[in-house]
Amino acid sequence: MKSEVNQGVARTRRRAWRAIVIILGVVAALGITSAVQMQLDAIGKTKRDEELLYLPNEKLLNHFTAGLHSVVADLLWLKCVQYTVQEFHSQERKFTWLEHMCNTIVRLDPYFTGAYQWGGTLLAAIGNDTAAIELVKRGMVRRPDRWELPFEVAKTFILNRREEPGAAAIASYYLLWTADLLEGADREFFTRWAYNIQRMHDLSGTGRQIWVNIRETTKDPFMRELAERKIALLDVREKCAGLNLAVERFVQKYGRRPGRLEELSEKGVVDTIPSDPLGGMFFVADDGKVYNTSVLDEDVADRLRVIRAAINRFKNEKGRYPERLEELVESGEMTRLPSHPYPGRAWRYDPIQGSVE
Amino acid sequence: MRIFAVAHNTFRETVRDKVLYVLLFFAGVTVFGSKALGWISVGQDIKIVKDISLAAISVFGALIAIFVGASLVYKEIDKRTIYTIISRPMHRFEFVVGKYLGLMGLIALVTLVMGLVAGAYVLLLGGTIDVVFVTAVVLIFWELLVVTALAVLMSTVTSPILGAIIVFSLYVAGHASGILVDLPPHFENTWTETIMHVLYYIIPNLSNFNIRPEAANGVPVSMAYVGWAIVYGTVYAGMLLGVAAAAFEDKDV
Amino acid sequence: MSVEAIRTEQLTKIYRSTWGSRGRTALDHLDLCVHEGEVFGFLGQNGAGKTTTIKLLCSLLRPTAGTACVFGENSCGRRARAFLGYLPENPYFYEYLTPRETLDFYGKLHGLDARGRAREWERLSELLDLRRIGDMRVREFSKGMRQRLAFAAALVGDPPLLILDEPMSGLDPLGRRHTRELILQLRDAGKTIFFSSHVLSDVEQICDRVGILVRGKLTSQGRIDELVERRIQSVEVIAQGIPPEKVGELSADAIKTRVSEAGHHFVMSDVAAADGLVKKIHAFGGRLVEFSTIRESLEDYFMREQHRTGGAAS
Repeated sequence: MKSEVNQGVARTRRRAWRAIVIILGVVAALGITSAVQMQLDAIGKTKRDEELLYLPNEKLLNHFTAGLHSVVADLLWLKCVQYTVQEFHSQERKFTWLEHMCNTIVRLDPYFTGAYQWGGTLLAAIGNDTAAIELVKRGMVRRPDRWELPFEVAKTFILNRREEPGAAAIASYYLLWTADLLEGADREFFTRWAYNIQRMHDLSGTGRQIWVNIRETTKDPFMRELAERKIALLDVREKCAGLNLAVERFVQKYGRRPGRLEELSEKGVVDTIPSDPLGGMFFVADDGKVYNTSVLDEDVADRLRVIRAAINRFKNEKGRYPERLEELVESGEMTRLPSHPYPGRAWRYDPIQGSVE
Repeated sequence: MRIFAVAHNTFRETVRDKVLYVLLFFAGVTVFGSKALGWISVGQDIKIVKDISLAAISVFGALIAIFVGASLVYKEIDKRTIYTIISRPMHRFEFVVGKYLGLMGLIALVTLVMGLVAGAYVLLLGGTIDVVFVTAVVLIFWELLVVTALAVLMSTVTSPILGAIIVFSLYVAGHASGILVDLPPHFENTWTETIMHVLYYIIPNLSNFNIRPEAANGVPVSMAYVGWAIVYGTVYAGMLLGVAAAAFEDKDV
Repeated sequence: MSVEAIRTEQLTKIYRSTWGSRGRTALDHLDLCVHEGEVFGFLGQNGAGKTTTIKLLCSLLRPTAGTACVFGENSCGRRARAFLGYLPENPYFYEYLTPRETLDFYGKLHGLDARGRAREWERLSELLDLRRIGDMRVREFSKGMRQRLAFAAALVGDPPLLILDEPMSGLDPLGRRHTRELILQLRDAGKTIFFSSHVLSDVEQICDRVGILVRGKLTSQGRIDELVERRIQSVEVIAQGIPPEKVGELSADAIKTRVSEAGHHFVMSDVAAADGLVKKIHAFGGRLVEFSTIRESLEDYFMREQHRTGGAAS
């Protein structure tokens, strides 16, 4: 009986020793893995987003997609493209979600060059050049090796901000940055372009060239369609400018402004009134300038988007809609309120609904 | 050596598991089907194919590890083939380690085949395969080392279904563990924060092995990082195997 | 003192359920002793604890208390297992392997090199008649073939002790005979055989010593002829040619009488009484056909042990 008790004790003692060894082993292993983990976090393969305005649901999406967040980014990207095409062909062309989608995509996959690049192009194409430049610049931080991104910034300045003073200088700066990331003939091309721009006064010619280039090189039918449209609009603007010069000649010759556009051709100042391939029409406004409805409608759509985005931001901040559109400038949501493109017309704003047209 | 005899036998046995082929079939469908998504992606098709291929290798590899691994030891006990093995002059841990190595052999083969197929497909579509892509596949394999070790551990202590559920939950948790150190600011200097941090170091951080976004976008990853990740995986898997061997030592079969 | 092939001291196994504290005592302080070179039969009802004992010896289970030693080595350790070969009750194999591959696998587990394994295959396939089916998959085997393969597997590494769990269960008469012969052959080659059974006639035929397990307790162990009462319980006399009127007189002293084709059967209480009867038969002109003594069989003894220790039939 005694030997049995001794055996039992010995057995328990053996078991206890074994348990202790196992626990020590596990603790030691976890110690090593923790140290390695700290190393890994220090090296850090993904630069973390410093912005504090990082929406919490995006963070959760990132963490809880079980390592598939770049695939989710891809799927979201496809959705984004679909959405863009849809909106492009719709009547209203609001593109409300485009900026948000692009931002989510690049937060899920910060290395997604295509998203920065095409997101930038699309956002600029709908007139939201601020968001476009912001997006592309974030991309430049994470993909400093890609030449497409500084080029995208340059493009945005050329296409959207050419009226701003210093736009040419900034565009040329980014073109040089692009050249820096390339070699050989490509590098030379961008360098020359940069210097050419610095000498030019009007950037619209080079803007058209950019869209022609996109139309020729893209494999995507939607991009081609977008480029066609943009080229057509630029051409119409050209025609407007041509017609305005004709008006000036008319005034010089006849001492008065033409009442109708047709007078220009009737009186022989121009051979024919050009047509608008986009289905709009040219007209002379009360201020004596020639305008085109297609171009004006496009500008209306662009500026409405910007105003609507500002109204939404105002609403999120203050919890109510602004009483007047000017409040948007007063509260700092916008630097200035864009005017209505149609001469003599103003924005119609409903403070109760928060809608504007 | 005895361990390799068991490993070889396990490999032969798992190669016969039907579940393996079903999962491989779906992995193949996913990879080849990803091109269809690429068609509407505004020129991003290569990136998308790479993304989805690597995701498929990772997810299906994990599913194979979980479903085959969780039932590995249990099936032997259930089918009593284990009786004539454990009664031989070998250590119990040799059995566990042998089973693990056999299963890892299978997973290595599966990962290699899927990686080659995906790579060939990308090349066929006109893309390029760079070092990062290959490294990403290697790190997927290391991730699977840890997941399989966990599955084998579960298989020595519990039934296959419960084991599979636990391993799957830890797989998801392992990828999400970054959130434990990414808490909103009002948690600073609280007990909750400390606990969360400790948990972060305990739960296997599987996102360490995830360089798939880098691979799909062609961004290089430093070899130092890859080296540390490999060390992490090896030590963690070794620890899990040690616990599994200890659990099996005194188990009544 | 020579080392015993098997020695257990106060070996106890209690199965505990996961949640409760109550457990089932499968083995209760077993003190078993098996000598080298003998054939030992381990008897008991279903559920008495025979398989538990065997599993403890093969270290498939860990004891709750007490020890088990094989050739002096503690059964929990790896060295003990080099001394034994185990044949489980319903042998399971990897179905997709052939006997050659199976034995090759087990050979590797014993640490044999390629030549050693080839030698084992030669030896064992010869001994157990596996040559013809050596490359068939186990999936297609009959019960008898599986049993032979299981025996071969147990003999890999030439262990001095064989532990067989119900080796004859499910076999046809030819199979049982072959198994019996094989066991005796192995014994003659110097091996120790320990097997469990609940078929007493098999045990009686080949065992040197037996042990009886009733509800987890070893009630007796030893040589059969020492355990079983060897006194003559009764004597049966069969005779023919007895005049019908004398049958009654002869029957008067008998315990039992009956008539069959062989003649008249008389069961007498002892040899003396039987002797007297035979003289009377001769006197009456009858012929003696058969005179046989009836001693206690192992089965009788087994039933006696069951009743003695209160073990009910299961």
